[in-house]
Amino acid sequence: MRYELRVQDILKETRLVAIPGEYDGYPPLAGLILNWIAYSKIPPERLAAAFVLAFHRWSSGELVFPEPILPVEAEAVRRIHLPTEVSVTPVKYAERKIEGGSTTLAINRDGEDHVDAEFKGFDISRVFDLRILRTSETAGASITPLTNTVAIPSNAWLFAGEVSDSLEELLPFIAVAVLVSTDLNAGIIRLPVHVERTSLFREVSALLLAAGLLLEVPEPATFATNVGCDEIRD
Amino acid sequence: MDVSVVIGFKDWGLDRLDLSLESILASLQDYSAEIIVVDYGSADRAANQSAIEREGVRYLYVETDGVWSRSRALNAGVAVSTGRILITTDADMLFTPLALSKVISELQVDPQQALVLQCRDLPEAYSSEGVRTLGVDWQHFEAVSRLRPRWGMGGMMAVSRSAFLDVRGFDERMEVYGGEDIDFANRVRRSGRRVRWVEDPDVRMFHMWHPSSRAATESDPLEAQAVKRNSQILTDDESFVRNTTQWEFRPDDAPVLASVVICTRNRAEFLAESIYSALGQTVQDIEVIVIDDGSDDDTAEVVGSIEDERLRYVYQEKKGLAAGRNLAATLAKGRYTVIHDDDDIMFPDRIERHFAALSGGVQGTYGGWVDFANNNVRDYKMYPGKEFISGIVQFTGEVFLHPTLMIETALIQEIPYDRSLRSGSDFSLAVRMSRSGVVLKHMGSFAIMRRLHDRQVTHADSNFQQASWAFTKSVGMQGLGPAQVKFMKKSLESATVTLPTPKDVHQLLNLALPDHLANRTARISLTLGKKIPDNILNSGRFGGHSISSDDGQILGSAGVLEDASLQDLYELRSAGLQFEIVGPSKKERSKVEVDASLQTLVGRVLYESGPEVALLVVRLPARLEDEMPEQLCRSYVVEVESAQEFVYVMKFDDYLESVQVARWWAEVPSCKVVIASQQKLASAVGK
Repeated sequence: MRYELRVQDILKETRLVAIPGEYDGYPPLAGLILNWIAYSKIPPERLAAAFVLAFHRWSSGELVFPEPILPVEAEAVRRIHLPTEVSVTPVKYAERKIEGGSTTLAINRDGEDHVDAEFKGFDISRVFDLRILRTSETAGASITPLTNTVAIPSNAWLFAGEVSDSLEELLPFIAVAVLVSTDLNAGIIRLPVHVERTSLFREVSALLLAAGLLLEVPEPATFATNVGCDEIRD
Repeated sequence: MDVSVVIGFKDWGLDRLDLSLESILASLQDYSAEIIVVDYGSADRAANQSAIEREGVRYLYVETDGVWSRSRALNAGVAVSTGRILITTDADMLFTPLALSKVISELQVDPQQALVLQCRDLPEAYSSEGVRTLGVDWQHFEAVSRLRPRWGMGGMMAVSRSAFLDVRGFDERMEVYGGEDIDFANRVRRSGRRVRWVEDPDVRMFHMWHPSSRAATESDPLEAQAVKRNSQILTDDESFVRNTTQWEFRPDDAPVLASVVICTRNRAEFLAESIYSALGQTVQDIEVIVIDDGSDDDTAEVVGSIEDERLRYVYQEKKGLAAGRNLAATLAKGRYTVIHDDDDIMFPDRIERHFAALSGGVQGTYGGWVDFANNNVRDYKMYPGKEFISGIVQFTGEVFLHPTLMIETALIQEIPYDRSLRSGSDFSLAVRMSRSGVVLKHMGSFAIMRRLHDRQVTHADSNFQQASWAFTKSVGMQGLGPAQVKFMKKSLESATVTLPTPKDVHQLLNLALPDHLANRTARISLTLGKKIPDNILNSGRFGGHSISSDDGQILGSAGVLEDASLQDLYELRSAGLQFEIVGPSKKERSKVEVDASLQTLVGRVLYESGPEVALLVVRLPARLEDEMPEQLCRSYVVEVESAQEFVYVMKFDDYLESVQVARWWAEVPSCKVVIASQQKLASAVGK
């Protein structure tokens, strides 16, 4: 699969495009679309993670990313595709800083998930209510600073398709969050629902970790739980 | 049933097949499975059946016209199968003990893929005799076998049943073998599944040695031609749904190919023709859903008068076109929905062309349209439409007309019509789908005749249309500045579609004009085993001939139907008859179709007889009363408007001998003589 990032000023959209090769299935739509143009350069590892989250179900064989990625990301890409063997290119075998971030993006699908983005004092890092709306229903992105709300129309919901695992269904939305994470200085992506820590969860976490992002699962408790900690039960 | 393994077979080594079956049975381990061996026209059916049948293996014999087709053989096997996973393979493969169980397990975990194995050729010592004598040693096989290249040299493919049904099986146009497996894999990919070559040391497939069958194929000119045609299909045909007009081996659980949706309100006078044009398509595997949006005229009666189980009538209290189409999307059984208006008429091959243009990465197709005045056949205008470029839909309504569209039904469920729009909901849907990354493709032809009359929505509702248009356009133009608008308008200029100009435009329009404006004559060809409906035969507008065998069994009819209505064409199509619409100038009842009918019959005999045979066809005005020629293999009676002609077909193994005998017959008064053979073109020798 050949991946291309297309930023269309004309239509005010960013589009991740997947061009199938000889072994790849054709994705349901040619591109993952966001009505958002990043003003920061998206780090190659985050871009690669977004492509994989959106399109890995259709990929087989060679994966060609727009820019060279670090070996740790390449390994995470390879592992998430198993048992399908993929060959990742290009890979940069040199030291480079992995971007982090201090804020949390809480995914909110179509504004229907419950997200608490209220300001809780300077000691608590900022949480953004990332509302991923439907491009068929909303035109144009918006930011509401006082409520920490970022609303971005996307066609991510059309990629969810008929998947049984709820984490699988969330992957295209996580891809959207990854793409805007640099602009919002995000270091944590919070899922809207609790999911089991399956092997897929571990692979997704590794994919994001190599890109400087932590994947957070919501808990009933009032504080966040990072990857690797025990689940808190009432 | 977990899995069905299907193998195509014809007159090949039974011993190889026996070894193969034993290895497959062992490799299936504990899965509930069936193996179906499809004997596609072998000479000795009884012997094969006896050798092949055993516990877990089902034997299926298919009568053929003598032509081997791996595609059709495999489809025939799947048609009687029940497995949720389908594995197709050849009759000479050995599988390691864990091979198939691992393949099945992987597909059960992830059905969104097609699994293929790279074939390993065993050396000459390991023919079936060699395997029996030397024994099965998998490690040794691994050491001595050679890998074939991946593409073009398969041997096993495993897919989910839903993947097989989505693409409608192997392409039945393909004959002999060669290319059908790659073509199938390509189409499965285009339908959204990846292909994975299984690399696992426990999963191996070995091909037993035997003399090459490729050499025999290449030396037979007809088979070589078939392989060349296969190659052309593989190279040129980018569609992924096949067998649309005919699927000889269609499984009973295959869903309908498409759902035609017609929303209507108080248009009873136009509705029947709209429905007939849909039901009379070259693609017959459809359903037609009529949503009656609260009509108080004869709409229900009009629909009720058409007796076709594919037609469904649903009534809703007046809720509007958008609500009606959304309702239809929840009821549709087809993966694709064809939008059709209650006052329009489809060209007869519209749906066929929709699918022919449906390539990978495309969610729907659309066509051009022809506006015509309902009261004047000369008043028409042709609109080819424009290319679908993302973002330009909101600038014009001329990219495509909504009732020329075919789209994935699931997309309408995800992006429904805006029911708050009294009119213009179709334009709104197009803009919202375009914004969501949906890709549509022009099918390269005209889809419909759009009837212009004073009761059109565009006429009656123009104020609401304008308001809807303005609102929808705002959605699409959101955030665009003057520079962007200028750029998009420029893109529009280059988005024109050029459709081939027909030599005779009226001939084209005649295919889909309403009855009161059309002047259609249908020339019906002979289709063996299919009968022309009685109401057409007895209409007073039909003239033609029927052909019976000498024992009086009617084999078929052919002829010319004048003033053919859309209903007539629907009935002919539903009866499985082949016909073409000839120009309005050809009104006479032609008798030349007898030649075409006889050509069909003789062609069939040639196929059954083999490539070396020559057939001598003699036509006489009177029955032969003397002793029949010893070479006689068929005789027919042709009846043309009460007059009879007698046809005798003689078979010769030597072409020159047939020529000599033909010369003798040519001297008989009123006798017509033709020689036909596969090696040489048919040539007229006598009168």
